[in-house]
Amino acid sequence: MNGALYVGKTGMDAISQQMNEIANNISNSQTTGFKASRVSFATLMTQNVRDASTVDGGTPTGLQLGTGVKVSGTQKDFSVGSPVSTERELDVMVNGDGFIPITKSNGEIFYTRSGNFTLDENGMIVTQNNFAVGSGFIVPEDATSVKIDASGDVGVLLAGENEFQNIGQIELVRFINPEGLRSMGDNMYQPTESSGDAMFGIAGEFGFGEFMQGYVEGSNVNMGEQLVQMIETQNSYEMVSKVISKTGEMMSNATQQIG
Amino acid sequence: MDPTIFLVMSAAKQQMDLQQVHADNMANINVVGFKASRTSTQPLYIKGDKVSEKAYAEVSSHSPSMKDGVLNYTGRSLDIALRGNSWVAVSTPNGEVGFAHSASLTRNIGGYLTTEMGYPLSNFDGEAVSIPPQNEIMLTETGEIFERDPNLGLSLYSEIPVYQLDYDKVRRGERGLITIDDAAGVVRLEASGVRIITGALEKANVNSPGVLADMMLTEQNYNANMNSFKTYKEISSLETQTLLR
Repeated sequence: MNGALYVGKTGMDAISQQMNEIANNISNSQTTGFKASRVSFATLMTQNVRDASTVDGGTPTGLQLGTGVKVSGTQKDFSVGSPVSTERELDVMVNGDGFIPITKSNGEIFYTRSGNFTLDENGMIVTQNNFAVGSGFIVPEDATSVKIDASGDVGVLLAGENEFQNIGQIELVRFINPEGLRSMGDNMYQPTESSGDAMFGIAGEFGFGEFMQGYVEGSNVNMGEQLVQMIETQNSYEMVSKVISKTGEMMSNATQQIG
Repeated sequence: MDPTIFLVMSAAKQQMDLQQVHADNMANINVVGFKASRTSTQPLYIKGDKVSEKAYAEVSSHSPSMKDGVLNYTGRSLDIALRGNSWVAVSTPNGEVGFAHSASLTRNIGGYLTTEMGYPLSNFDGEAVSIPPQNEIMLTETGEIFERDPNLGLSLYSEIPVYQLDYDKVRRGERGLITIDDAAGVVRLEASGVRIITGALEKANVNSPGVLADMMLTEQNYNANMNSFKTYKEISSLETQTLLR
């Protein structure tokens, strides 16, 4: 069977995965704290059909046939998205490096960049999917206002009082290789061997970003870039399908003429 | 025995190999820093008298085209691209050292940088370029890696060696990397001659309309061979019919 057909097919597979990723980025262009990802491609093995020869009369260049392409992985872009002002007390954004640790009810810890929090029925500060922020901060029932300052200190103003009372501090987490984090959906991540262990720290110190209350982090998808990539992807797809159709024509021609 | 049929089939087989090279170039159009394969065809003469001398065709594809690809600015600080004859070394799992012209690097917790294939950035002897285990790093144009310590500020940590290759000796190695068998063809560049562009990736240097044109030409040649085959078949069946009558 003809190799060119299969080489073309690997190209089609890889390019449609890229299209999938672009579609996902564009669909999430309004998702709070969303991080764009991109597909990286890698050349498949090279088949050494005939080595170059140094013998007199031999061909000085051999024949090496490539076998196509594959998707080697997807890469998250962890650059900070633009701040969107909401003026809501429980919206926070980390302006710079750092993930917010969140705890599921079974004790499992995840890390997120989206800080659009709410209160649950017990007054605990939770994410949009009911995971406790940090190790759990309880806002008393009679609190009239919540303040989260730049270093992550959470203060509450109780009714009838005029000074904020500190109920804890939200820590931040950093990874050596954030691109190695496993995406768990809902803007949550978990560490892997490749990302390294979580390194805890305080906002504003040692290169960590600061908290900004009243803001959420917009998606960092660059629409212009995605659209350009989409055009490019479509062109590549068309050209690779041309490879397949041309090779197909060659094969059918052979069958007609020889058969 | 009349060799016509074998000549035609040999040519058709070469056209098929040629088509695979075109298909591979096209399929790798999105691979960062990919260098397109070049092809050439030589005649293989079978000596005989003036009338019976035959030439079979033989296709070669070996050294890739070394032209620079277009730069795509990504803004990611660990994306690097080089220009002209300057290459960074990458060590593959089987202990070989290959060369890359552009790479999207990531930090490995082992304290080195890896390409998107997971191969560590190294020097020509295969020793990985070390990076600070925890602190933020910064790459400069000349290939220096600075460590940004929160208390002490910036300090030089290590260097990415950049090499110049003898293009007459290169061949395509594993996974799109360029390899060179003769160590004499590799020269390390002085820092003053190095220019690493950060925040950009190099696109494949495949000339897609050119490849499309080559593909169509290959198809036509293949079809022409098939027509020769058909004509030959007709002639030989005519011969048989005439002789057997």
